[in-house]
Amino acid sequence: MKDAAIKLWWKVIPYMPFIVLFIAVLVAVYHVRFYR
Amino acid sequence: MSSAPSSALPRGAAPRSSLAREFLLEQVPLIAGALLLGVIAAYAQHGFLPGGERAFPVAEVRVPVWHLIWMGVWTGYTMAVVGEAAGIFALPYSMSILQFVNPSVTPSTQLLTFLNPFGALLGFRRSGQWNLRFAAAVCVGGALGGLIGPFLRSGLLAAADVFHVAVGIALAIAGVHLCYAAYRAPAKRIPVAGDAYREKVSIQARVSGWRVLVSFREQSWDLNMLALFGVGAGVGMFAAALGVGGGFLLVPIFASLYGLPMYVLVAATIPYVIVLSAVGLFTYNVVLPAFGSPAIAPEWAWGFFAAAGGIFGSWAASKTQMYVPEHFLKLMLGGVTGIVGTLYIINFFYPLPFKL
Repeated sequence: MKDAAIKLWWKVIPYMPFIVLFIAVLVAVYHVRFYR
Repeated sequence: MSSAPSSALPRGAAPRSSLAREFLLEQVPLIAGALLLGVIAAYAQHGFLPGGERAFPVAEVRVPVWHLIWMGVWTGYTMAVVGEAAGIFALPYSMSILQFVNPSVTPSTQLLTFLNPFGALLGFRRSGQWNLRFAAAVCVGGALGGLIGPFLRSGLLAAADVFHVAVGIALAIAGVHLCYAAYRAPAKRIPVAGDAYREKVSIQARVSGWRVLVSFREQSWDLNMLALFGVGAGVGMFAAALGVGGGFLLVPIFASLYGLPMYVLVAATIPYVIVLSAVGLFTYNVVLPAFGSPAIAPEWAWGFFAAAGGIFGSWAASKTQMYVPEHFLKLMLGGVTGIVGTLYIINFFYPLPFKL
């Protein structure tokens, strides 16, 4: 189980910058909608 | 790196225990220190903690503290993955999304660019990518640029629209550089156990008159210190006027004009960004008023909170850089940066139907 989770983590890492950028876009939209 | 990696780790990956230890001993104190300084600075400067409910008085915007930390994390992470610093992304994000448009955005971002590289500096120093003789000339030039740049900001670039154009030019340069680097880089970098990043190396520098001979393994570069000083001063002037670290210009100059590889040039660019940002901050707060111009005070808490996230982001990037498709990411970030920069420039000449 633990090894499977670690393997999954290493599979996710290459996509991490794109996931981070996607969340950044969502947060930016949220800010524009509710704080500006 | 001393113990054998787990079977689940790819080749060259650091064992989790050493990563956790490094994070706890080196990064957590820096991050906690920046957060604490942010809270102290907020109370010292305003007497309360601004955020989503009460606007940051200097920035004149309402933004939750977690959002500033997040801004530091994502800009620090994504830009560090492609070898750049957080400032060149954090600045337009602060201006266009968070609407921090008054002149204080410059020193506030400069505070982020000052603190952000410390995590990387510790890492590079430990791996031997450190030589002050090599860094000295360009850093002295950066210090001079850091003294002049804020005067440009308070004079030539004082108007918001002119400043937007200058930021647009910087973004366009960064965008072109990233796209060019993506074009030249191999599609996927395969981690190698004996890679220069992963083992202890040593960068040597020997000063002889006005020249410095930098050597790394069997390679060497003969550099003119006056030219390094001039490049440092020129880049520093422009970067300090905008409030960024200058890496977006210095890295391509070092890489293309001098042919320095990334693992050598960081020995000069990381200290350079720190020196330039420190002198820039000092000039905005102390030197400008001493010469009769009003000081441009940073929103200190803003910079500290963003830096806390940025330190974590750039550290996380340094640990995962080997495993991400740098080629595609550079192309994407370069494209976005270039488009935003171009829009800033177009907006100056032909106002766009949306707010930038």
